[in-house]
Amino acid sequence: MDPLVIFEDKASSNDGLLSSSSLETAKAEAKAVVKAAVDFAKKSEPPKPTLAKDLEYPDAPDTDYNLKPEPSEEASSSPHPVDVELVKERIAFLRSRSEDGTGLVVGDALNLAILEEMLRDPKTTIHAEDLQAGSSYDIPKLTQQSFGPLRAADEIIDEGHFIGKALGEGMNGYRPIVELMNSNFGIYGMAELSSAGNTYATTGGQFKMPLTVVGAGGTAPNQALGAEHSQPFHAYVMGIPGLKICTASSAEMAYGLAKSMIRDDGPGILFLPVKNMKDQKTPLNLDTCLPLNKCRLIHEASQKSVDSNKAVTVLTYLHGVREATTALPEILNTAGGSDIDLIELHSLKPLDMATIRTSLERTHKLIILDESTMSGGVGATVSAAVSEQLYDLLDAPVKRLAMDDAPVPYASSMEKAVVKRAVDLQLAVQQLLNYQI
Amino acid sequence: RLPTEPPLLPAQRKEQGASPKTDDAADRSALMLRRFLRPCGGQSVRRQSTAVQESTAVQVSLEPGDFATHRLDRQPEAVAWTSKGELLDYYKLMCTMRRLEMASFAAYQKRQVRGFLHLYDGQEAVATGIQHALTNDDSWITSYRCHCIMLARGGTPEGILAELMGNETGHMGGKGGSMHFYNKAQNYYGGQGIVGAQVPVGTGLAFANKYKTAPGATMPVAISCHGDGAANQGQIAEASNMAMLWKLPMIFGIENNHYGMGTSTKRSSSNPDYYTMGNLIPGIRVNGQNVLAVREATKLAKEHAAAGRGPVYLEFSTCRFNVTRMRTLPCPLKITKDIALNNAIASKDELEAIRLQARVDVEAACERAKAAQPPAQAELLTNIYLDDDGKDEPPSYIRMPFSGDSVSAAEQQ
Repeated sequence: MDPLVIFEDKASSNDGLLSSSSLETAKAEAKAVVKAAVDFAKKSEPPKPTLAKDLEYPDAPDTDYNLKPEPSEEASSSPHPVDVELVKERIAFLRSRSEDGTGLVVGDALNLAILEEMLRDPKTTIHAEDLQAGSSYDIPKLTQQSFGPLRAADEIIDEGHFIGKALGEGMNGYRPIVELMNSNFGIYGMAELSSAGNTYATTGGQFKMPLTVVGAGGTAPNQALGAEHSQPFHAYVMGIPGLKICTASSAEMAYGLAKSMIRDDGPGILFLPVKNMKDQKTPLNLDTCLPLNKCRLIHEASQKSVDSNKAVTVLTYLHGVREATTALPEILNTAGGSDIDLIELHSLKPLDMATIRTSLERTHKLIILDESTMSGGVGATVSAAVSEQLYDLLDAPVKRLAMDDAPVPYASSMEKAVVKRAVDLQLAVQQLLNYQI
Repeated sequence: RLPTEPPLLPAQRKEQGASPKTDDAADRSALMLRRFLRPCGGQSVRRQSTAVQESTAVQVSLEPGDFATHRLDRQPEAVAWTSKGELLDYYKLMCTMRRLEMASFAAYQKRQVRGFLHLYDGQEAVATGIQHALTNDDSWITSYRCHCIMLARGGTPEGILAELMGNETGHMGGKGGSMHFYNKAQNYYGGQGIVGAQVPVGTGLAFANKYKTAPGATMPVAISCHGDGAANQGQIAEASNMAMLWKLPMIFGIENNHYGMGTSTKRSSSNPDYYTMGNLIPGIRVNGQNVLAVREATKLAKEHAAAGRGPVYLEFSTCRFNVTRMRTLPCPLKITKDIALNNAIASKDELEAIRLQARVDVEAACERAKAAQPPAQAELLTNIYLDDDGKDEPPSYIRMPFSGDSVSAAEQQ
């Protein structure tokens, strides 16, 4: 039954609550408004072609997050009590470890970044499984005890729902941080992450959605977590527009990138290597937000090796960084001489082609030590971009050391064939240096 | 005068064509007679009991508190029938499960087992009770906490331990590890790594069971086991809705060990009575530490589902001993021992002999598992693709690794 007809019948009965002529007038007015709207729509210009790209990120990729204004006074007052002493004590402890040279592990560095940002901006919230117990790597440690169980909330084991929930918080004025206990579990939230990336543009720029997802994951040699816990989630999300994707394998970088990503007004995801969360301590560059669109030259090939054509550019990220630094002494000591420009891909998206270009202008040869599969991986994307934009700098095809398209097996004897490691890199460097057209 | 033979059990009478309805009185008198048939004259039940034969039927009483139901028209009876042979079989299986988990943990601490390890010690009665309520025609799928269910469904301690150690004699040839055990021959579908993912898959198993059965005939059931940590997931609600809509022969098993990873049910669940979460779907909660109670509850659930009346939520209240280190519930092995002793089914010595033998068997299996070889590298590429003739070979148009283009130092060395 037509609700308009029902309304008209009821309104015009009951001794003329509304006269039928007033109903007719209202209908005519509505019709006229809609007709005018249709005419307006038809006459409107199409949007400029670059609009979708312009609206991809609320904050441009080269934003300096150190210059972000402090949250306003009214934002600072919150009806939810904070145990300021507790959080400041923890922050002071962690900072002292960095300042006295002991250093912090990756998990603690992220904890420090999160606590500092949550104290700075009362709109920041955090969600994680087993949050009150510190989750797996102490990333959310003491957040619930300091900020309360609503602002720092335990989540159930259902990533789809809690990533979506964070999206809602982000659209509704808050700055959510979500920790994935293992980044692979984000697969359950793919629809939500895709939605997150689309939010700013699809809403015509109305809704900034400052979501930060952090997660340790990936595949290390000898990890033995089996096929369902070794997927390269960083590869799966590469294609999501609007999502800033970063990686860190050291405490210093994790801290600086996390601070920036939390202050960024759009969605971002920070990947960490699951096997390196608690094993090495490094001091941090305290209070510094690092750029989200830059990769970093960790080791520069000697001028001598460049001049004798024995230098290779190696791009890698996550566990690959540990593998490459392990391989470095062997590479340097190889008969005939060889050396590498080792670049850590901190920004997977947007990609820092400038740093890659600078290196290739010296070496003209590229290896990508890639923690994704041959099909659809990060290395495939980078390789294609290099071929398109930097082809003339290459003296040899790009060499990509990627995982085989096989479910990652549990037994180490098979796993080491799938996941490329230091010895594979050494061999690849030699092969590339011996490459004859 | 007392009869010299024990009266027939209800099941035995049914076989002989007697009608079940008239036998309530007969059952009660049978129970009375059994009590009189026990050795009298002050003999302690803890000595060798020679009067009880292997297959003599014994009725064991359960606690009323062992069961709770939700929208179910029948209550499980607070009794279970068993026999010496049967109960000692259960006890042996449960002792083997316990030793297996302890051996796995010891090997893990020595780093002979890597990756994840989810242990089942404390929950042995759940798997044992389920296995003996179902047949191997019924499908079973579970989570990553799957070693003991593999044992119940045709696995061996050696095959399981070798798999954990990543050796080629492991049940999965070293490809699966702790979270991935399967046995097609006994309708055991794993062994699933991702929390909750097994539940929609289990619903699909039930669908197939219904689809392949002639309408009106009794269907094989499917049971999927998930924990309290998974219980609030959306995909479970989705699967249960369809199971109810299509009247699938599905049992949604919930192994409630009161902790989802490190988070207690208090913190995770607005409704901790998981057996009621099916809403209109009937539910049973059972004391998961008593193997006979588990079996009876599962039998009841199976009857309901197999007859086409729709799914059942079956919650087992249990406890995992190793990780939580809190034995908040009694040990299922001890409960089984007490049943055997208190009902004069077996002696302390007989039970002890079983327990010790299980230990010996698992230790020997562990040694054999350790001595086995890791799988050959070529195994990596088997069981991924089949060619057009169904051989374990990739089709010619698939470019497999090691084709000369890719680098593998492991192969070169």
